[in-house]
Amino acid sequence: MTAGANRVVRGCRIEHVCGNPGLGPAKDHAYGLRIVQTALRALQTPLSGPTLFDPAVEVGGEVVITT
Amino acid sequence: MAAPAAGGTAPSTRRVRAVHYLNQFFAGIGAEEQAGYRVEVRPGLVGPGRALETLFDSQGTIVATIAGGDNYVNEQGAAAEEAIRVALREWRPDVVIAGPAFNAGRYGLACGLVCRVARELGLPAVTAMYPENPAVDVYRREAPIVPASADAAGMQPALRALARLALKLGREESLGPAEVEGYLPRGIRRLGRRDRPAHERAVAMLVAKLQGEPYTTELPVLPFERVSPATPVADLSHATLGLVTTGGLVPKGNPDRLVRGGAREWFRYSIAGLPALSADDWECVHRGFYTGIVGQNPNYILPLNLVRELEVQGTLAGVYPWFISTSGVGTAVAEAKRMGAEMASEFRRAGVDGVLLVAT
Repeated sequence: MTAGANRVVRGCRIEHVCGNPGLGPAKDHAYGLRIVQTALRALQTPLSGPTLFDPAVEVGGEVVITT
Repeated sequence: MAAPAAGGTAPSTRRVRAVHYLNQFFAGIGAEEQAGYRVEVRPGLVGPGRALETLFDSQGTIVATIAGGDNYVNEQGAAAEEAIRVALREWRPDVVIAGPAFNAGRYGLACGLVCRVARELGLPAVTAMYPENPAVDVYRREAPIVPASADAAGMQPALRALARLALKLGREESLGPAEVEGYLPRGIRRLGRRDRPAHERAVAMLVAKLQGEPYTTELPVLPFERVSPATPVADLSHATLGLVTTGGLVPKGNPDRLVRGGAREWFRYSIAGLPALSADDWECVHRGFYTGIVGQNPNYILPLNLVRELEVQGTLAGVYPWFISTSGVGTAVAEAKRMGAEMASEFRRAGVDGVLLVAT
């Protein structure tokens, strides 16, 4: 958030940014899709400075366990 | 037999007791596969602590070493912090030394955390890292940070600077300004007296500047990069998306010889017509994280499968048929800026409307 990027989406972990193999195939897929959808939402959002978009909050619905 | 000289044991000659923090790698526990290792305390010195204690020149000793896995400390922040606090309370050192962390981001953040915990306990602390380590911006006010090289080749000078400042801090001597003591500026100003009044110094600086001579500013402005946010994408259903990853994703066999860290090059690879990335065709070249999981499913660092799904649904108009890859670890900021600009101009030329960059 201090490196100059303005639209930042919270990923899972450095080893698997866009998903979580520990969730099993179906939930992993839903979680990954949520991350990508959040990124697309970020691209459409006007902003004035660095902003964190959290997939658990942004897309709504159940909170995704990310660990 | 001669009696010990009277008064020879004044507090100033007492050895400074230091506690040293190292990550799992420098503590000899293991490499990236051990990054989840918990915080552990070992009596005495470990690894680079030996050279550090030698540099104390018998004036100080490392009483204990705290070791922690980079992922553990950054992901289990509260538990790690508590373990560090318990260890520092138990050993009650005169000074805490963390690192050097060089340009390792997670290690730098762990060192900063250790310094913050020490400060909260009223213990002086010092750490060392590369000036561009992201942790410098986060922790520069918590403790003096000695500049170190980007990698461990500069271990010895970093330890020398750490040893000198640690002895000073451990004896409760006050530190002079950053440029005198050799640590990175903290942005703290203290009242002091200069030889000449401000107006004379200011005019002298101006004259030097106008004559093209060197001068040293008294008010350095720390650069904090601000990038103006790009205009949002108006209509995704008419937009082409570009994909970038700094996870070091390359075709199997790494035909372009992308380096595992400190990259100065980026490459583009075709994803035209591919529904997803297969582990049979791609591999990950990156020294900054455990790549085994991505090795089994490269879509975790370039979510082509998911992006295709949204393309088929019509959420997106299309995906640029090339993705861009580099290994984002240990690259100097100036190089990263240049590469970023080059990538952006490729996308601009191709009429890409928005870019998804997966950073590892």
